[in-house]
Amino acid sequence: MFVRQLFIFFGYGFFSLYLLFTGEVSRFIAPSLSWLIYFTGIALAVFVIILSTIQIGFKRETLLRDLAMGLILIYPIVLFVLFRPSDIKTVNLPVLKSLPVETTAKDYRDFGPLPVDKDGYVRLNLLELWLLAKNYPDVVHSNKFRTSGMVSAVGNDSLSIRRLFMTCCVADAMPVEIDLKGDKLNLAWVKEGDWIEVSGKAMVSKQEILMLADSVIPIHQPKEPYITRWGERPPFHY
Amino acid sequence: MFDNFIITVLAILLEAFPFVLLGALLSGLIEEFVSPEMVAKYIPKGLTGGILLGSLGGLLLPMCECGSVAIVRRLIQKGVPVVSAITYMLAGPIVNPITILSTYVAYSWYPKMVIFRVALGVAVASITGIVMYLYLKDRILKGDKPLRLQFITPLVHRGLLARLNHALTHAMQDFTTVFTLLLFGATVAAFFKSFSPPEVFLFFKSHEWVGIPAFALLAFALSLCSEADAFIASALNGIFTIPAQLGFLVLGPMLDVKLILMYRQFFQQQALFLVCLIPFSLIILACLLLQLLRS
Repeated sequence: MFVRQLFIFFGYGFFSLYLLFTGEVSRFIAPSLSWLIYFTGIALAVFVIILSTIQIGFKRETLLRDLAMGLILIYPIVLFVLFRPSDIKTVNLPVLKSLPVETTAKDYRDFGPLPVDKDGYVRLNLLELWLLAKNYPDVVHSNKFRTSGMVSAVGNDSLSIRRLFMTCCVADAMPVEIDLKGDKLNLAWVKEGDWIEVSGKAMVSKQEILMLADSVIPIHQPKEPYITRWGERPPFHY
Repeated sequence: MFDNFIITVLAILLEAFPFVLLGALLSGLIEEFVSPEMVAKYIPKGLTGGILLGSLGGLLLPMCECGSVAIVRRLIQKGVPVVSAITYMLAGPIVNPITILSTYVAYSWYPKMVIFRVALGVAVASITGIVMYLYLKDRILKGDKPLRLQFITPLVHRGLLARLNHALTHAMQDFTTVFTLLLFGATVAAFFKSFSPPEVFLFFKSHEWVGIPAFALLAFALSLCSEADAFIASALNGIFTIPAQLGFLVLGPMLDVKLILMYRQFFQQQALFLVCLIPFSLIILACLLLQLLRS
C-alpha cells in the first residue's frame, strides 16, 4: 500500500503544481475552479509528509508488483507526458443545433449593452451569439456580428465554425456550431482545424444562425481554447 | 480521439480529487473520534423521529457508502431502530455535505440536480427503511459474524497526536481505495465518451427511456464513491438525459457491486433482497416518471 500511495501522492501532487505554474490548468478545468487544484496540491503534500513520518514499510517480495500497480494508478499522467495530447478540438457528440435549456440560465442582458466595435460589428464569442439568437432572435437577426471559432466543415462557398464550451472541466465540454456563407469571398485557403475570425450579418431561422460573411481572416488559437459559462469571465472575454 | 481520452480522464480526476480527499479526511476523523455508541445514544426510538434523523444523519455523521454500511451494523446492534439505521445507510452517502458540494460543483450548469438528488435519495431511503421495519422487524442482520471491515475500531484512550495520526493514516488508506475506484470510473467514462461511435450517442438521444436503466446499470457496475460520482455523470451529459443522470446519482450510493458484497456480509437473505430491490425499483420508477414529465 505504501508504494502505491507514494505514486498517487507524488504523481498527482506534482502534476497539480505543474499545471498551476505553467498555466495549463485551463486545458482541463474552468479557470474559476483552480482553487480545487491548489487544495489538491496542498492536501497531497501533507499526506506525503505524514507518510514519511509514520512507520509503514514495504515488502521486497512484493515491490515489483507494487511498483507496477503504482504506475497503473498514475497512468493518465504517464500518457500525458509521453504523448503530450493537444487540446480537445471536438467531442464525439452530436453537435448541438438546439442548446439544452439548462445552459441558458443567464443571458447577455446581465452584462449590459452589447459591445460594438469601431467597424459597427457586435463582438461576441460563439456561445454568446448562439444563446443570444436562441433567447432573443430579433436582436440577432439581420444585425452585424464578429465572432471566431475553429473551422469544423468546409464546403464550396460555405463553412461551419465551432467552439467547445464547458461548465466545470473538459469532460463536460459541448460543441456549439454555426454555419456561414461567403458568396463574394475567396475561401479556398480555409481548411478544417483552422481558427478564423468572421464578420458579417447574422440570419436567424428556427434558432439556427447563418452568418453571411463580409470578411474571414485567419487567427491563432486562443490561449484559453474553451468557452466557460456566462459569469465565469467578463462578458465577451473569448 | 486518443488525445481526448487522456485529457478527459485527467480532467475528471483533477476535479474530483479535492472532494475525495476531503471525504477521506472526514472519514478518518470520524473513525477515530466518533463511536457508534455515541451516535446510538442520541437517536430517537420513534418511527417519525427515527426516519427524520436517519434521513438527515448524513449531515451529522457524513460517511461515504462503504463507511455507512459498516456503521449501520454496529448501530443496529446497539439498539438503534432498524428504520433509522437503514434510512441512514442509504441516504447518508447522498445527504453528505461533501457529496452535496461536489454535486453542486459538477452540476453548476444545473444546480437543481442537488435538490433532486437529495430529495429522491431521502424519499427512497425512508420508504426502504419503513418497508424493512414493517416486514422484517429485527430479522435484518446475520448472526454475530465478526466485522471484517476496517472502518469500525473501538475508541481507545491515547494521546491526541497519536489519535490524529491514526485518523490521517486511516484517511490515506481510505483515499487510496476510493481513488482506485474513481480512476476506474473515470477511465470507463472517458473511453465511452472518446471512442464510442456517434451512433451510440444518437441511440440514447432517440431512446431516452432506455438511457435510464442503462445508466443506472453503469452506476451499479462502476461502484463509484458518492463523493466523486457526480463528475462522471456530468461528464456524460449530452448522452444521457437529466432523469437518467439522476438515477445514476441516486442509485450508485445505494446499490453497486462493492455494496452488494458488503450487504451480503451483514444482512440476512430477505433483508439483502429488499435492500436491493426496493431502491432499484423506486429509483427507476421515479426517473421514468420525471422523464415523462419532461417530455
